[in-house]
Amino acid sequence: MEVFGAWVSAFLTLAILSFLYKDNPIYKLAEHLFIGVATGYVLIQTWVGTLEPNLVYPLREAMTGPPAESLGQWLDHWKRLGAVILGVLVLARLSKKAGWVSRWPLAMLIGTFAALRLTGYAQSDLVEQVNGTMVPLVGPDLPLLAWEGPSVINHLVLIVGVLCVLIYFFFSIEQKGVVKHVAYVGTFFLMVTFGSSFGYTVLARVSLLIGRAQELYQYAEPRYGYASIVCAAVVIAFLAGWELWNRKRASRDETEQSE
Amino acid sequence: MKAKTFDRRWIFLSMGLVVFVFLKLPVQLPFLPTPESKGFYQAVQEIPPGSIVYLSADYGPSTVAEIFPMHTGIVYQLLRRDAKIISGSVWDTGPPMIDRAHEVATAWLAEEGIEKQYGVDYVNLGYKAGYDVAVAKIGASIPEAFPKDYRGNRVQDLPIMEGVSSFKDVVLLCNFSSGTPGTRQWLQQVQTRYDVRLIAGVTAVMAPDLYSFFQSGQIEGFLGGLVGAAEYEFLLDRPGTAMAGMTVQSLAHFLILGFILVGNAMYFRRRWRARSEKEQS
Repeated sequence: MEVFGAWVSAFLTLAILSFLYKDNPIYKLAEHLFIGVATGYVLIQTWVGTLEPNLVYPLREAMTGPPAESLGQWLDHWKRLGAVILGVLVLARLSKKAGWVSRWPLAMLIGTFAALRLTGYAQSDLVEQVNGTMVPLVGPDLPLLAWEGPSVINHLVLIVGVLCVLIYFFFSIEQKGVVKHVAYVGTFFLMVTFGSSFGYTVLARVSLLIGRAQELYQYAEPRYGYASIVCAAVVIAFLAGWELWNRKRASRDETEQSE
Repeated sequence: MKAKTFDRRWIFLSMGLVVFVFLKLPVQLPFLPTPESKGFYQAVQEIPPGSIVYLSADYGPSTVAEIFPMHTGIVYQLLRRDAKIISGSVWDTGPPMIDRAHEVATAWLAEEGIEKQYGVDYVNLGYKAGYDVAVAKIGASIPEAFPKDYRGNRVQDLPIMEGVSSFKDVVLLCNFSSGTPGTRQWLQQVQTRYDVRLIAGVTAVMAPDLYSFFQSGQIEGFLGGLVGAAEYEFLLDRPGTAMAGMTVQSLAHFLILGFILVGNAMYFRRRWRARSEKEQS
């Protein structure tokens, strides 16, 4: 099974990489296969990981288990039916007449998400971040300069950067005079941010290629039947044949048109 | 050569050649762990034996190259320190990653004569759908969010879950993330609410976002991309795939730097030519 998996992995990796040459049927095959498998996988995971343990089993227990002794217990047994009803109401969207009903569960979803995000975001991204910006500029233990960690220069850069970028994005006053110069300094901090993001993105993409290369090297070993080498030969041969066939067809069409 | 008519497939080919040819180069370029990586490693080292650690693997096969070495590394480090690992995921692709990381790390430990048991020392709770809501629910009650584990066992019957209900019982939260929901959601919904210590391992694309949270102390340490994974392997003194890829990563970066320089030179040359032609006319 491991060897079979290696062959599938090597072939699909090379099939996807063949897109770098140009869009071709072998790439399309891998793409469609991926979409199909991914959809099936998500469906199974949602059923097995979420619906079964959180809905099917509790309802089955409620139906087959001992009867509830109090109203609280009864509600606890059957509360998940509320989720089922809300879920079914979303499907009302398919009907033109009853479509408005789907707004109820959607309103609940949006409300819950908004409330959760608002409170969490305000605490972690606003309060804590503002707190993190309140750093000392002088102190007996604070060195003037340090490559890492707290220092007078590092704290100064942090405070100046935050203020300049905030002023750059402050649109309630016209950016002229001092404000314009401060905002201009802010653009340098922004450029450094974009540069680091770009650098990290390059790092990520190259890492992914390295990951695939490491696996292809692994699958080129004799214990996997030289899977990567054979699959590479197949993909290259297919691309060459497909290209030749395309060229022949193009020249035939050209001749027919000229006739 | 004209930039506009340049076939970009030459760039792909040269990048492919650099990666595939130099990957087997038996040379390791030097690198030193950053404060972020040291913070990640140190946070694990500081926890007392027997502590409960929640590990959320919110990534999938597409980012295995970057995140999987970190994942196996921390499982190895935690189990070696006799910590109890409760793993779950809010990504449907996460549970198989957890199983694989457990498999690799326990094999490493078995080589050292340390045996660890599923359900006692570590557990895979599987996948929970629902983005922020799922994260908040896990924070409030782990057994309610995951009534059964990935193998179908009742979570409350597992020895590892004895006395564990919410994040009040968790000493350290570790999140591996390659998108949303990920570290930001754990930070917003769990770290701030339960004041639990948080460390993270993320893809390089996400790493710049975490620096501000590291500076403010909300995240005690993080690993960013393959370089973060390599630094962690270095700290663990267990060279693996991440360290093996670092030399070729550096060479690929030099190649990209070269492309940027050549591209800029071509742009300025074209602009200079256009200006001089305009002046002549």
